[in-house]
Amino acid sequence: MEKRAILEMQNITKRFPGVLALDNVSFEAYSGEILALCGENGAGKSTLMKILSGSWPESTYEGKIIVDGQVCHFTDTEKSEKAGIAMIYQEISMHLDETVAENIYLGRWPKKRGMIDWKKMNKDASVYIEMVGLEADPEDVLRNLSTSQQQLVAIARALTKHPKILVLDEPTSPLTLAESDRLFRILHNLKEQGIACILITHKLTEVFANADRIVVMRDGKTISVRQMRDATEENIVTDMVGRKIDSYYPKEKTAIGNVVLEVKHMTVTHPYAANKKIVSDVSFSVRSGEILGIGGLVGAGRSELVNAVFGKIAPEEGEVWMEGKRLKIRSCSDAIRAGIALVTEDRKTDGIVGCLGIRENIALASLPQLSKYGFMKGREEKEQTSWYFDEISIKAPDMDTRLQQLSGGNQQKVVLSKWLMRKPRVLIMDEPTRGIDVGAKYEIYKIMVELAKQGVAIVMISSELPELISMSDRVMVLSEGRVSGMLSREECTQEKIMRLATAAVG
Amino acid sequence: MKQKSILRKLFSSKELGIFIPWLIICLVTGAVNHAFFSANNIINLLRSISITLLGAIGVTFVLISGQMEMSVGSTMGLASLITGMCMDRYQLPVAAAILAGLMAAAVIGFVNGMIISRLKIPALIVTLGTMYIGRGAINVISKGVPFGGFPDSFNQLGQGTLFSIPYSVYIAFVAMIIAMVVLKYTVFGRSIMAVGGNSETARLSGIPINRITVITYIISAVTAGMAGILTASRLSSAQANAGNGWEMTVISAVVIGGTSMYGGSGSIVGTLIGVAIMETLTVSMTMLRVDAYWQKIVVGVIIIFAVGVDTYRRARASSDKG
Repeated sequence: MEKRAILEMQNITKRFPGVLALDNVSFEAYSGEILALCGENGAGKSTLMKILSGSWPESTYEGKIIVDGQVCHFTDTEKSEKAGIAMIYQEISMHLDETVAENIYLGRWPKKRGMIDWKKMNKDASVYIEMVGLEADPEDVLRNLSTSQQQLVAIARALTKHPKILVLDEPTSPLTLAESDRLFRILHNLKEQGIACILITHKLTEVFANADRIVVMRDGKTISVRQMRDATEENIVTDMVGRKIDSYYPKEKTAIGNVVLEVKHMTVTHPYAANKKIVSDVSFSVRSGEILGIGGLVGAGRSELVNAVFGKIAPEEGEVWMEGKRLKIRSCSDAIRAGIALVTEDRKTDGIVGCLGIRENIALASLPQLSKYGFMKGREEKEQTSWYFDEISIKAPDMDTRLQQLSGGNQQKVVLSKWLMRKPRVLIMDEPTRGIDVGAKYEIYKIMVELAKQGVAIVMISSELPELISMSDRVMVLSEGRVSGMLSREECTQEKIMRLATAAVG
Repeated sequence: MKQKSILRKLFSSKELGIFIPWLIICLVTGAVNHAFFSANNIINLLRSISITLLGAIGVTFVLISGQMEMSVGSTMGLASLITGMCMDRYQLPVAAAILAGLMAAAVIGFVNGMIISRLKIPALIVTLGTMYIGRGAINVISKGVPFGGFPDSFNQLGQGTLFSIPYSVYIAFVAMIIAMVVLKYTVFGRSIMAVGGNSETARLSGIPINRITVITYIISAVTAGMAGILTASRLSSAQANAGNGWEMTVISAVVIGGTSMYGGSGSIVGTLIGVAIMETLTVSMTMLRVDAYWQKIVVGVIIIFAVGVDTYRRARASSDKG
């Protein structure tokens, strides 16, 4: 069969304030192929697909989209669907309390004289249910199905629109191996019918087993397009990494002391797939003065690992030891009292209180220390919080400025100050410089180094490979919830980390 | 330039923004009906403001912590009834009867707080449930018959005056000062602000959010109970319908006072003015001969307007960050 380009995206450029998310990207997909789209976190894959789906309307970017030889103007998602593009997102967005058939035909219910024709809907739905190999009745309620079955419903729903292009974002991450295999059999089937399947994935084994072609993106650019038969793991990994080390990292050699924190056999259940573990049997330790980096791709379980250590989420099993003593962590306050601090990944949801001022936010974790008989020691609070305000040079008119008025970098400095005030012995930082400008980044690195010198043990999760390599004394790489490798500072390279991050473990 | 900014600050201050409308209500009513400024009317107005203020203080705490409280009306009625029953049916001493009434209220608050924080059932639903349960319990106990014949010392509580100002005004004033101090200068006050502003951040900072929730509901129930007991004393009678629909007056007053329905911010002074507006409005509309049926419509419009202003403020605050 002659392969023809069903989709051409030409010279797409998309700017966010201060960032060039997509830089003149061109992208093609052929009908009847499985095309893998790979790249680091933040390489621009999702942005590109959001443009294709119409989530970013035409006016917000430059470039041209041609589907089946026709120039398209996607001003909304509906137009994109009509052109034959169907998206299946990682987090399945469906109505759990409605039936399979209702979900498949949501918003497009077959009607008879203005009323929903339930009989026809259920009958039509069963055709698609069979097509995707789902073992369920059209009238089953979605909540009672497993995650993989729900995903098949999502695919069935997409197929009812007769798509020419099907985009799947990390479809296998909540699935077990057997379930993934079944999903790929269905994809191969769809491919035979002439549908172009675009697969966004981190798992190179899947790519090698199933894809026909692979596109690698990095920093908003297409780096390479290869036929799978010409590709090797070596050159794909090389294409994925190689981000320039463009900022200066003030890392210094520090005296590394005894083990402070030790985590043993940490296991955490997957948030939306009960039969899967997002973190399975992870053990590691950090020494005083050491910065331990944790690398890995989105969904590898890095945040869940540290959240479980801090008591933010409850692990299935696992032990946390601090200086040779086992901790019983039932809540975050247990962890805080033991000397652990956590700077979370998403400041807005769980790092700051936006409607309170800088002083209140800095004092938040130290209320017992700053009070007597339940009353705040006003002057002491003011003195201590101002000390951090000056020392960390938070840029704001005064200490009463509300957090929601600060920039991301200054918010992060407030969060850091809050924890520094507790004088933690272990500081865990989840993506500490995400969404922060270069200047503030540098200042945060300086603080980390200073803390390490004082003997604090630091754990840093980062998706930015240069940052991870330059700031860490050791890097632990997670892949699919397991430790896929531990690299010393000397052996750390972007390629090695990426290879471990995309490796299949266990 | 500087003067302008001071002026702007003054007018953007939440309290002033509602103090002026209250003043206008008073002046307009007084101009039309001179009886509004009579000593008698002012004292009566002060008395009803003070009683509603007690309940509103508790609800202010609950709303700041980001929750909802529908059961204050029933709690008020139950406290009033239990106190009345203890004196009328069991001839208990006044102090013991009052204590029993407050304890009954505290139990409702404790139950509310425990269910909301431990079982994570939405506060609106839980307190709606306890509102019905409380009202039901009142009817079961009283069978619709009011308790009365209280000792004089009890009746003095709601009827007596000092320097011709009712006792209840002093009680509410003290409660208000305590609430302001708690909110501003204590760990507890700081904690409820944080929980209401972002409960996940508060939890991750080691604040015992469940305990905070339970305590706020107990405070709210006890202050409502105090209002109930004062009402019984004022009327020399504990009635089954006491506090019926009162939750709406109280919540409206708190929201008009600038406490956010979304939690995280609020002020006791604002609540005082909110209560003043609600109570004055009732008196004014009667004095201005506004049809009783229309009064509810006016109040409804004001509530939506007050919440609308709060929502608009929030939307602006979150969009203007740099």
